[in-house]
Amino acid sequence: MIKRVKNIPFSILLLVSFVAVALGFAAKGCMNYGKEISARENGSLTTRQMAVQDFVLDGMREKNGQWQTTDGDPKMMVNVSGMFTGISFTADYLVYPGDIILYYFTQPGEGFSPQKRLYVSQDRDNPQLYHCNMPATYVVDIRLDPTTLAGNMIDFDSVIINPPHSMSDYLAVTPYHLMMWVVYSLLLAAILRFVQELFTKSFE
Amino acid sequence: MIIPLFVLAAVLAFAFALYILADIRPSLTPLVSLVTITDIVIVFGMFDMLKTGTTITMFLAVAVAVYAVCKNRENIKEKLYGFLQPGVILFVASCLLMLAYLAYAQPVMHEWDEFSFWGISQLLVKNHDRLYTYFTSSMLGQSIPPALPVLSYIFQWCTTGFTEWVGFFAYDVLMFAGFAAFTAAYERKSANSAIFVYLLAFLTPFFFAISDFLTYMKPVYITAYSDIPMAIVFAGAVAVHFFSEKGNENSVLPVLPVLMFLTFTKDMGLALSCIALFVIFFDMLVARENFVFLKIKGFFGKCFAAFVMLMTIGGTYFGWGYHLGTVLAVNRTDYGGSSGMGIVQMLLTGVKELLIGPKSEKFLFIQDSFFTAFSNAKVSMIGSGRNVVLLILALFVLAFVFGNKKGRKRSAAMLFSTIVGFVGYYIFHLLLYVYILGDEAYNLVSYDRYMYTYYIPWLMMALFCLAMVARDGAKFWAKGAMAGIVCCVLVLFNFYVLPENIFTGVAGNSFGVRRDIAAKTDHIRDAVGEEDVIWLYSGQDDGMRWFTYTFELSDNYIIPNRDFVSAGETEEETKQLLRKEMYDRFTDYGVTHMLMDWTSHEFCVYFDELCDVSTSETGNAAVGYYKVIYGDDSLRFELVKGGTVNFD
Repeated sequence: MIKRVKNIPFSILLLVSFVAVALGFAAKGCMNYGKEISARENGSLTTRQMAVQDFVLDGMREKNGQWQTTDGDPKMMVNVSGMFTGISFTADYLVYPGDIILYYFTQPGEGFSPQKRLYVSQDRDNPQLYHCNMPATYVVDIRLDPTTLAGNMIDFDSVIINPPHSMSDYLAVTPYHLMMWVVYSLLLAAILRFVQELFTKSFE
Repeated sequence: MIIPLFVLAAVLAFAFALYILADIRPSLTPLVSLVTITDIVIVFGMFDMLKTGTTITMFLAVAVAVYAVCKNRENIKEKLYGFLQPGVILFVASCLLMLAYLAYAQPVMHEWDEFSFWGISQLLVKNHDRLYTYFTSSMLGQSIPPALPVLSYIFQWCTTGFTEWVGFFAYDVLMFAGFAAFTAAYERKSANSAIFVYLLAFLTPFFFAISDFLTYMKPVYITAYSDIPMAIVFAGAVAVHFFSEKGNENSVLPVLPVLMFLTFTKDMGLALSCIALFVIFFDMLVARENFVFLKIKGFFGKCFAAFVMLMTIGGTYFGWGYHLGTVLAVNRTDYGGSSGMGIVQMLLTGVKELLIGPKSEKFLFIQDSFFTAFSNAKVSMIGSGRNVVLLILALFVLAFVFGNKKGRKRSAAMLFSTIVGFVGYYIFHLLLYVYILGDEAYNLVSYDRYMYTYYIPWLMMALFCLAMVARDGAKFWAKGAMAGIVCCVLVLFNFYVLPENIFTGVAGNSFGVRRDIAAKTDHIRDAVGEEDVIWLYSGQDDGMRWFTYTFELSDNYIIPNRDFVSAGETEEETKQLLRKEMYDRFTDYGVTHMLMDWTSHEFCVYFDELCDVSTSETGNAAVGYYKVIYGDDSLRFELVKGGTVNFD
């Protein structure tokens, strides 16, 4: 048995690693999906709609039924206390919004952290739909920065908190996943080879 | 996508020829091949033969490869097998993946200096098929050496029009070629060690380029900034020498084109070239026995080799200076800046004031914050420069502890020479802040960027020593250490990096300003004449929007709006004074058109009456392109084209 392990060529190790890492990613996606399903079942995660007026607004004001940003860092804050998986909203921007960012806070009164942050992205099929998605986590407050430009006009009236996600949302493959897939697989193969060398006691 | 692929193939073919004909280690050849091709094209470009020169160089590169293959027809299979070392395979694979990704995502430039120089120079060189010294434009920094714009040009020399992501691809090929060179210690049987080194090299730029992780995407691998490629080429120059087996021409001549490229990258490239030369010379002194260079043996051979390298660097530097002198009639050595000093004068005055005094108030202030920044300013994922230096020292210690006798000698030599280099580099930057930069020097602008230009290659050089030890010394421990370091860096990477704020996230909406301006210029482009001199008004601009317009409308002069200063007793008086001031400015520059990007309250109050269509109707989300009608001491604006721009 050990002898066989010793003789596995590096190409096979690479192949095994690439498959294993892909399976690992898929398993993680499924687990996160399961987390959302069970949280919805036990009632700790609910989908709800919030009007823009329900947020504490900073750097934006209502004008002719739309929202106008008055500085380059407009903020919309609201308390959501509960399990949280992301937001979605339908909006029409006058000019390019730039980065739309959602900060979330897991402790009351916590300062913002670059690590607790989601980029809200435009839907590929429906350009007026914006959404972001994360594994279910307990969150106290959220803060949405809807644009990075002052003087932008946004036509929207509500934001959906915890929109339902499907299995495919959790299994979606982005360029980032592909890059990390390659990086992790190469690393895993290299480490497996190192372990193999440990068995044979010959390091090359 | 076909042309960049073809150029990549030509680079590889030439690399293969270098391996067969000149017996250079396979993993070093992609870097040597790429920089050699670029160097030759630059020289052609300096004689204003950029396009022809590129065609000739490409033809020659392929011809040499064909010759090499024909000459070794019998054993070409073994040669090819010998060429495909882990570094080469990783290089080719990552280039192809990156090419596929960039062609799919099509990222664009969006950072400040991409529009002031590094990106717009690529655009201009491509559109004119000449070096930017041969024509005038709104671009700043005509005297900066042209290696990177030319590199970008080579990868699209026969396409129609300039593609931004091809420029990014050219940079990436250069960097990946550098990473391949870092793995040159290993042959196929040690593929896993090569993977550790390559992964670490790939992740290191992220490890340092962190300052903007707070909000904006940090575009490592999709940027036209020169700092990281220059850092990689610097380390690459050392690697080409360090990993060459024998101490002869083979360990010296391939370094020359890399040093030439490095000196051609940027003014700072000269300093880095000199440091690289110092590090290489020291390694030669310590580690090379039976050294022969062009039949001169031993110590004198080493000195002669160093002399040849110095001549290459000097020749490159003064060659470009001579080119500037003849074509542009400017003096390259005159750095100018806030005190109007030449570089030699700056160094002499600076070192004297630093050691003896008397120091000016600015000197004292900057010296103080510059030295505290070393242990305070966050420049990497593990914090300050001090932490980074400790990490680098730890790598050297590992290499020393696990090394064989020769490995220890080389690690110690490398440690010593790189520390000397760092001290020099640090003090040089102190003097740059004091004498060259103006008021922005007080808050040490771009400190992290200048510093990681040295930290990245320094970390890589420590890794070279460890990599060498993992091959020749206590293999188990050294290899295990490399594996551990890669894992630690990955953990940090996962903590700091969000999928959207590195290059993989560009499919999102990070390019708001850029796309806004692109949409506006596309709207008015057919109304813009070739000879138009355009005055740009943009109410909220900090210079970024002006820079972006100079990029989008690169064939025209774009005159930036500076604040008006006149003020009168009454509003009516102010209005008249401001209009007079505007008239004077416009006639000075010969402005023919006004581009209204973003109007402001001030503009509406003082100037709106001069326009036939109010700027409040063509401001913000709209764009207005006005013709300037000159009267006696007065101006009027007639709308040529304008309207609301939809961005969907």
